[in-house]
Amino acid sequence: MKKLMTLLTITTIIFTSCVQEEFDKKVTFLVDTNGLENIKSIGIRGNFLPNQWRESYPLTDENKDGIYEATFNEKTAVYGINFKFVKNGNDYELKGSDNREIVFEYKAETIIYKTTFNKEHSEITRKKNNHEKNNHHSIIDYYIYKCSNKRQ
Amino acid sequence: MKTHFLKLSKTIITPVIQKHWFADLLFTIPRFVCGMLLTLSFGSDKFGLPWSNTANLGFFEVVAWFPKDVAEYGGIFALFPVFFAWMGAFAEAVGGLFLVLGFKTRIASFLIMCTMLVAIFLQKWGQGTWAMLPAIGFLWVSIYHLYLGSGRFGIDYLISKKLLSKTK
Repeated sequence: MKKLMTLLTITTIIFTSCVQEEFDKKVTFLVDTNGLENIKSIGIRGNFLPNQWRESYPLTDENKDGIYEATFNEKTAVYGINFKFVKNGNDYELKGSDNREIVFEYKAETIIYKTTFNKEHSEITRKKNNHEKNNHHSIIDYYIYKCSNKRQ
Repeated sequence: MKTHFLKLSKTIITPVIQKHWFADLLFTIPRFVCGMLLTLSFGSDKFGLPWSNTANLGFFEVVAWFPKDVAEYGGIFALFPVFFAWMGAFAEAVGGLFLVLGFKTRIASFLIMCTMLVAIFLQKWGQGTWAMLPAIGFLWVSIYHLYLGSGRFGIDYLISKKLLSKTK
């Protein structure tokens, strides 16, 4: 039994190098809702959330400028994420259109995704992670949210 | 020692041959289909082979999410998640290829059988019969090929014939 455990430990150490490498990803979503009416809440649904597409994760607008925000941190090796924003719980934007997508590069990244609710145009800003605290002024509400990257 | 090893490997390789080649062919069809499904889809999704579609997955690497899934099974799986994830993914991807070729069929069948038992009882259990169906299908095929070996249509048959002629 002792020999078996030693063998398993050694094999595990060897096999650790045989696991796909993961990188830190920090993604901030900024959604402009100016012009929209009857907003009770804005959320995001996507394949990268623990509950997949079933429930929305809330975005917040603490300074009441109409730009809702959320930031996600995750160490992952996934190729990219798909998502859409929702109004008041389950009212999807871009009905009949493809999901929004961010394709990751295979390295640590900090990404800011700016868009307007229900408009396909988006602006993606990328920078390499430098392991320093990000003090970006437009990030008002900072979430550290452990999200799962389980596949569907 | 060497003789024992050779005898054992000969036993493992030598397939059970049916009276008529057509019966062997019938057994080969599900083995071939399941092997193809395992190596081209189920296995290569999480194990790096030249035909894997998963992005950023190196050769013979296991996909990053799989050890995390395996760790959730608890017990010994939580202690050695990388080992079991790598073995499970290897069994599907490379074991599937070996099933297709009928090469080391019994070893591949054993690895696939173990992987499918884990998949059924620790991963898919409680998700309903439909969720368990692929793993159950692969389990049946691996069980009867653990007994039969490759049959007439496989590399093991050719090796065993060569081994037999050498011993004569």
